[in-house]
Amino acid sequence: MEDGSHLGGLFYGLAALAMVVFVYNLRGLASIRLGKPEKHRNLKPLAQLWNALFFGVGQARANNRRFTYASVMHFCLGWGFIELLFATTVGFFVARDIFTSFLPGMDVPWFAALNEIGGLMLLTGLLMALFRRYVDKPEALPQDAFKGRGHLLGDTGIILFLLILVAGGFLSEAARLAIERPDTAAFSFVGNAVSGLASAETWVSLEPSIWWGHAVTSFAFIAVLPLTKMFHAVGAIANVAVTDRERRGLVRPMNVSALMEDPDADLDNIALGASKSQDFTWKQLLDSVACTECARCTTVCPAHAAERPLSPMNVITDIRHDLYHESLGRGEARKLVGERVSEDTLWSCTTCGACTEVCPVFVDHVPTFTDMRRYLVMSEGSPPDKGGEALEAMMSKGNPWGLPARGRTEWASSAGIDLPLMKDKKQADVLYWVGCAGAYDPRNQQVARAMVRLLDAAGVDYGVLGDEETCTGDSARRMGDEYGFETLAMQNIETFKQYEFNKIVTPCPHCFHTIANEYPDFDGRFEVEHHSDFIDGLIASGKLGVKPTNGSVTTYHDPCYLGRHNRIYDSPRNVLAAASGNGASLREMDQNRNNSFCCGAGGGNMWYEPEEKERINLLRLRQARATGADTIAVGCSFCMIMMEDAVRVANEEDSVQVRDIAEIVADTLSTN
Amino acid sequence: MSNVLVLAEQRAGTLNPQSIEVVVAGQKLAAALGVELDIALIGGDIDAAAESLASVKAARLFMVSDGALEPYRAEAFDVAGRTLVEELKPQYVLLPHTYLVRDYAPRLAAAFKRVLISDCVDVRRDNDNIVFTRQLFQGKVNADVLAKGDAPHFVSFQAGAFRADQLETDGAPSKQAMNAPFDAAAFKTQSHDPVHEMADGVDLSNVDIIVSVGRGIQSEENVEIARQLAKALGGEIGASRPVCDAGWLSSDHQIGSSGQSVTPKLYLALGISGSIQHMVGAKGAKTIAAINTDPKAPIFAAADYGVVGDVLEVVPALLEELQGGG
Repeated sequence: MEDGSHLGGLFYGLAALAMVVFVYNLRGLASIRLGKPEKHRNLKPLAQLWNALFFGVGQARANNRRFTYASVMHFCLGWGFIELLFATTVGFFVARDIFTSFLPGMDVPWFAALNEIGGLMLLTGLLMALFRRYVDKPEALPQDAFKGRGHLLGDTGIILFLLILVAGGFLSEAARLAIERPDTAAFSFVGNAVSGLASAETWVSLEPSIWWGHAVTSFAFIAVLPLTKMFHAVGAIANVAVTDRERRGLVRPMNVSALMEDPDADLDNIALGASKSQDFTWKQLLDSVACTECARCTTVCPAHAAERPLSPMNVITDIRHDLYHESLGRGEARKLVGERVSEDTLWSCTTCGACTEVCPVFVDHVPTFTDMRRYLVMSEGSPPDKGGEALEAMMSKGNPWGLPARGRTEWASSAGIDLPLMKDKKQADVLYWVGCAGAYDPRNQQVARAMVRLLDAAGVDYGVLGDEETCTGDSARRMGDEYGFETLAMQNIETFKQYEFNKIVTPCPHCFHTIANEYPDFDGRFEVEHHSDFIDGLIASGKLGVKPTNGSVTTYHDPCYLGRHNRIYDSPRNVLAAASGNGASLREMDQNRNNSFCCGAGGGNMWYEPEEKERINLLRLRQARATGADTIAVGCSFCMIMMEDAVRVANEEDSVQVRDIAEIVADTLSTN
Repeated sequence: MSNVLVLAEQRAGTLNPQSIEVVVAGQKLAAALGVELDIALIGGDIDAAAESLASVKAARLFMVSDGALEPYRAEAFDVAGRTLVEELKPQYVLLPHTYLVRDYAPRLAAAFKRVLISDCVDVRRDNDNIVFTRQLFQGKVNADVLAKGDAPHFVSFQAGAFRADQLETDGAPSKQAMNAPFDAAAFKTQSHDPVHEMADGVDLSNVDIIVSVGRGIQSEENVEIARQLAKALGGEIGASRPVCDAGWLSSDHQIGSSGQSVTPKLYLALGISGSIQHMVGAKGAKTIAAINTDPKAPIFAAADYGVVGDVLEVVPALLEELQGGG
């Protein structure tokens, strides 16, 4: 080890300098002060500590079956790095005879071997990373690997830098072993092997240069770490530590109505939505700082798969570039929304949440994108062209199609169904929320009628709102029209409060999500169930006598707002299993449950047409067809429309049908 | 008693159809008041549009034509409107509730310290009162509005509030040119050339007859018979999304929630199943006729007339009839 007598002063001086530069370079992290306060988050000390240890230091979410190679690579890099950090720290103390009573010596066999393994893991990880960038080349990773996306040294530069550190470490070790000749040298198996490559005299003469070279490069690494991609080791731990996992994925309430009606409000200077770094909260800015650029979000993004101009990762790092420009003057001045991030990019998102689901460091993409859409719609008055019509229709007619507000029960009356109306009943066990699609779309009207058959068969005491029902505002909120959303939400909450019921049941996951998770922010707390949960309960309790007579080969498509956004995966599958028999089989698509692939309608995408090369619903249809299924089961009004549309476009109407789970169950009911 | 004045609007020599409807409203109001109707046409080159008003039953046709009015600028229309109102001192100034009117009419009314009674759907005489009807609360409630105080009163009418075919045309209004003091240098707004949304595409929004094809047409070659039918009927061809996605027609023919919204008098749906995403684009059609092999197709719920049959058999027969008859 080092000879403290002639190294001390310079060594400590350099170490101190490296630490000062490191702290100075942490300004990037500190720049999140630019953001606004975080309301609506509820941080709990134990949960946050768990986050920091398990998801931060423990890197638990870096391991993902969808990314096996990258997971193994990162495991080697991350744990190799941590082991070496530990070894270096121990080495530092041992060399100075501090804490030696309980620290292992560097040549204790198990510790010597462990340190070799740490070094080898880091080396393996680095070689895997190089292979990935130069041979495998996943498209979503930055292709200009020395530049990356704005980091010092880029992706490749930092890998090479780390390789130099690994080499330096092994060489220092080899020199030390050659000179000190400990009895247990064999346990330092790499260093020992390297030391055999040259004579002891050579190692003695080289040792000072090797040792100093390693020390200086290590200090340099520490000093510049916050400027490089490796900064995620700090940023990601900070970010996961302050993430409220319960509200992750939920857009932030704004209360625009109160803002607009406040007589003292300075309307000219209110930022509605986010167009620059200062408009985000500090947590949203921390997300951008923490992003490692692993590109998993972009890889799983359905909009990206359809070749729309959206890479969720790029949007997040564009926010970081804007932040660093605003706070540190780095890079060029460009508008965040419109220049760094184009409007088309923002409108490409289906808010399916695949990005959020897969992000190892808890970046919360969708709410951040929504804030930028809010800016486009509320500050700029610039919704996507056809989307604007739907927004207007939601407000004026109470449904996005702009069909007559007073026609919400024709689906029943035209079929001779006498619907029980809440207006007449005043109270019921179940308030059946039909939704706009069930009320107006001929295909979803069939689902609505199937629901009535199920409710009647199970003897449920229910009522519908009829013409008192109006759009929940889901699409308005996703498209950034928060004012429209609030208006509709408050209208519906008022309507709900007029009646007595135990729970709301709806076949639409978008309505479900909005009422269950978003209305509470507007003082509308109601128990609400998606029809898959409800039907599952009816079957389990024996109230609904289902005969397993469905004989088709069925694959179930998880809707984003039921699955990923609300974690309901089993109920629809239970329901299908109960209804299936006669040699029927249920087959899973490769992308199922939390890895499901969007139908393409979410986030208001139903109402406008983003530029794309392939239609998202066609991509999903192909995945469904690959299972060999002749029936695609859905549990969402939007998925129904999109998948039916895909079947027509693909001209496969004769070989595959799209059916809601309620229809499949209703068909199996005994008719006597 | 002073007259009723209608401010009519034109574009590129063609009278805006909503202006005709407001002339009908003006004729009705003038008759109710027992006064005469004046019409004023404001714009750049308005001779051609004026020609189409030559036989309308009205007393006078005023023409305010100036380069400052083309392209449209709110300030210029405001000056023209003010000059007309100051000169003619009408009781009522009626306007079509167009995008231009929404822009300049509030300013014009404010110049006379009046409100604009906007987007009315009817006008009637009730004893000594002239009553205007406006819709409130998404059309759930009709409100009757009286104009109080001294003339002039400014009123705009919703598209379709009056029927253009009830226009009285047994007149010969005297044409009078009128100048207004345009001071282009004082105008603060600048107009750019109008951007046509469908830059080099097909604009189906103002077409009277649309022959729309769906997947039921079966192949790209068969689109030709639909095209012939459209030609024979004097209409244009449209399509549903699957047809455009298949590339049989370019996407600017697409009708529906992700295409154009159309308001033809006749919408002929050939082999269109009638999914909601398509039908919202055609919900403004006056009459829908559908041909489809599937009697259960949702299109038949929306259609006024339906033929259950194969497009490839029905359309050629229809063509034969049309061409034979013509």
